[in-house]
Amino acid sequence: MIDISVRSILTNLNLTINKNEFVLIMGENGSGKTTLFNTISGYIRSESGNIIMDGMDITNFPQHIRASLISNVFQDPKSGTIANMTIRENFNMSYMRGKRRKLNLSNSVERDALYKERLKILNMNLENRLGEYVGNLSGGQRQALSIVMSMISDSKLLLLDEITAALDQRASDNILQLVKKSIKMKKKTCIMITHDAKHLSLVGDRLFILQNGNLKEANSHNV
Amino acid sequence: MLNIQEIVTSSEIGLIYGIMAIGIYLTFRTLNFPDLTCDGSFVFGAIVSSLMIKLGCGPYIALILSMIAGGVAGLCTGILNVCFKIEDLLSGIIVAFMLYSVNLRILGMNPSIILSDQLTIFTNNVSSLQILMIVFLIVLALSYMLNTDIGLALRATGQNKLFTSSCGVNANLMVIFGLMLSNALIGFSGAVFSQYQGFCDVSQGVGSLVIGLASVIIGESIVKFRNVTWAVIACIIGSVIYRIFVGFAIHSDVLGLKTQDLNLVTGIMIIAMMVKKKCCR
Repeated sequence: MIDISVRSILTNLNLTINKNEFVLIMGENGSGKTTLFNTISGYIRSESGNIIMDGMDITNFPQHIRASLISNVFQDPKSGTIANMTIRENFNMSYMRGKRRKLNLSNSVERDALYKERLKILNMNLENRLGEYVGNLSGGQRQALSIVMSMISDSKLLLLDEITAALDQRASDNILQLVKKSIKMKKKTCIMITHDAKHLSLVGDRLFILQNGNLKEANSHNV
Repeated sequence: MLNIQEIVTSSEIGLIYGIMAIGIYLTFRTLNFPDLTCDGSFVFGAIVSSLMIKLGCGPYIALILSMIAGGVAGLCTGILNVCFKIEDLLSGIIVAFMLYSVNLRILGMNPSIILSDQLTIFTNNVSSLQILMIVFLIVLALSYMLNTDIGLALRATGQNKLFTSSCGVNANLMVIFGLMLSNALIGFSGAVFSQYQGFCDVSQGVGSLVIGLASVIIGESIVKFRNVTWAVIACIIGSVIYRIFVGFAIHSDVLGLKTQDLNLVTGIMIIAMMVKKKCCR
């Protein structure tokens, strides 16, 4: 169960999400959707209220500690990957989320096998390009990569911030199918910000509208 | 023209300054932090090493202590930037500025320390192989470190702090760690150089940042490989080439340049390399 109660920009906001649930959040530009995500992730500290995850109050956890519980996929694929590093190195960063980093070489045969296995789901032939720099990939490939990377750690909650915003229709559909497949496989709880109500029928369990700092539950018909 | 001995000497100095260039590469390129502590930490390392030797300390122990001293200088810059939110450029300048007084205080009434009658790592004879070994060990250790999970987190911090934090890395801690590591190497380089030339003085570090940057830029334009091991090696190669080139320029009768033209030559070299880099894109 995830309880979020944030005030100030987001006033009197209460949201409870069940385990393994896929929740969609819609709202106008500037309504506070990304602020909500940044508060959950810990990039922004809430002035009051609590964020409770699995019965644990994580409100005062710094962002890097919360990262072991929460994975993010950003709207801009450039934010969720590092262009000057290889696919393997980007994966290594995500793989160590929530683990203690030591002076062990980050590349290993075991890790490579795991990355290849995960990348095969994408059908983009990225599994054979682990040594290639991420900057050489297209926007769609980078976004797909950041989604797969977000699934590699044992985090419980996945936050997807308009992940299809920069993609064309075909790439967008593929990415959503990938998300659906991966979340089902990894049994994660997910919150996704979107501007498209059709995504509810494609991937979501529940839909919320963020308006004037408040969340209201809705369905695809009354949006 | 330079003779063989002068080329060897230039290469030796280039190798020693290459360690400093690696430190500058770490902050400017890896951490994306324009750290100006360098001018202070280079002399700080040299003075700590020379003083410890004067006090009867072994030369290798003195090198380790100078590394620690450099690391402390980096720690101060890191704390100013991370804890007190002072801008990166300014925090480095402040620490370098304060280190000048600290260095003078350590030196006491003397403007320099002479090591000619002391035991240094070069006491018996200055061996190029000896310097090469030191540089090789530094390159090996640093290349290994940068390829570990901690090293990867350090490199990632400079590229994308948002992503790095989302991967569970304390980016602030990484900035401090990077600054400490960089200035430890710079301090170490200063210490080796002071033992190499047999003295140190408080003005020794002036301009070392520009020399280090020139080495990094030359190295990058020559070594095209993008992985970190080659990037570290490139700093050394760049530093050696810089020294030999400057040696040629200063000793060339045709150009009519003298020792006091060193800064001019260095500046022109940096501009030429950067223009070349831009034209090649």
